[in-house]
Amino acid sequence: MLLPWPIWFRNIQPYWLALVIIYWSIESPKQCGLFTAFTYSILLDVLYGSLFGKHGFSMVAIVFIISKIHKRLKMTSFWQLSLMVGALLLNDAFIRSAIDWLASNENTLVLHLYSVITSVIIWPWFKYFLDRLKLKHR
Amino acid sequence: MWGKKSDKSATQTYVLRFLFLEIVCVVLMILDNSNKIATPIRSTISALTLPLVKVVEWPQRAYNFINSALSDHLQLLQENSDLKQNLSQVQIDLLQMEVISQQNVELRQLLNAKQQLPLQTTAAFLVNLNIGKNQHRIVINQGSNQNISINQTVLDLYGLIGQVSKVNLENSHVILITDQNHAVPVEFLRTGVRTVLYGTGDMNSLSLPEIPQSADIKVGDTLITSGFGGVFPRGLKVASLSEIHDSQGDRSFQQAYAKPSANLNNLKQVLLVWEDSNHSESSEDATQ
Repeated sequence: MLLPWPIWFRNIQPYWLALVIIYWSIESPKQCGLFTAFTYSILLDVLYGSLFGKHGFSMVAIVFIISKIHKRLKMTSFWQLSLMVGALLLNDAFIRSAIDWLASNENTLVLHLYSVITSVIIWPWFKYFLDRLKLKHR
Repeated sequence: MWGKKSDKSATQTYVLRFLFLEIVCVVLMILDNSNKIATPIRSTISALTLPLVKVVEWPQRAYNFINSALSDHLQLLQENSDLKQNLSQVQIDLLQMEVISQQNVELRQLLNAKQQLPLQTTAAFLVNLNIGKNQHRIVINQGSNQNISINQTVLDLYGLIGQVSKVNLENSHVILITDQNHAVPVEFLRTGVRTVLYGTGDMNSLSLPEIPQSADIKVGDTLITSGFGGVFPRGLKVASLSEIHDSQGDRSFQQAYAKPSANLNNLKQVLLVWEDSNHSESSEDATQ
């Protein structure tokens, strides 16, 4: 949101913070726990000017679910993992639209679904890129 | 045996921590929705994000700077002459305005009416847009450090833009009049009919669903703020009427659409309105 994207892209842009947090909490769950997710999401809320704690609520849930199925996630194949990420983000989109609906009575589900789709499309490249980065710095 | 036990308590504390954070989030959301206690928290945290905002803005600023440094000489000359032409037009308008405002003062003295306050404004610059289907917000470069407060009126040179909705330390979010969740109490300049103007989520259109069937309105009518509700000062130009329909649902109302007067699609600089207490005192003196 902070970057000067054109308006049509703003509506469909991937949920970058969630992608980073998901990758981070799968790769090194010791470093990226619930508090990290919470802190970054609160910062996101301040930057967006959105309801305080909205992103925090859904992001903490994502990290919690990941930590529950962490061992299985590490074992799954690349494409299966992408599917799992899609499912996690879908869940997250439902949570956030529910919050929007409760707080201000607007229906934002379709909007969130766009960004879920683009996030899933971008995830394989995103993961590939970060894996390469990780290998380089090892 | 021991290992198992400690494992169990570890998962338990983990679940507790999860629940704790979720409850914190819910409490924050409820506080924020009531719009009172969360503002100081928000503005303190925004101090942390300030460096990030500056870093992201930097390339944009550099681009603007280089662009203006390299822009064509001819183009500048053209722009200059355009601006001069604009200025002379505005000066002519101003001249007429002076006469009219003088007349206005005299008439008000005759009527012994309260003096209309001149608006105190300061300029602020746009730093970011947050415009999507469901929300029309902009971010301006002044915040609680500059004494900006929630619900402060925001204008541009052509009309009303909206009001301040969230205040951070160094910037604040402004909700535009075209946002789906925004409403302005307005009146028709020509006839004085009062109604409410709602945002539609479309930048070029505002809706007026509650005009009485008997009201005298026509396309092109100017809408000004009525000052009802106490958020916006009275008499600011908001929009001009563009379409009139019969309401489908309720036959006692007619429905209309209006086009915002402010140049919402191309905002760069906005004006913040200050309510000055000194002015109201002096005006009371004038009436006595």
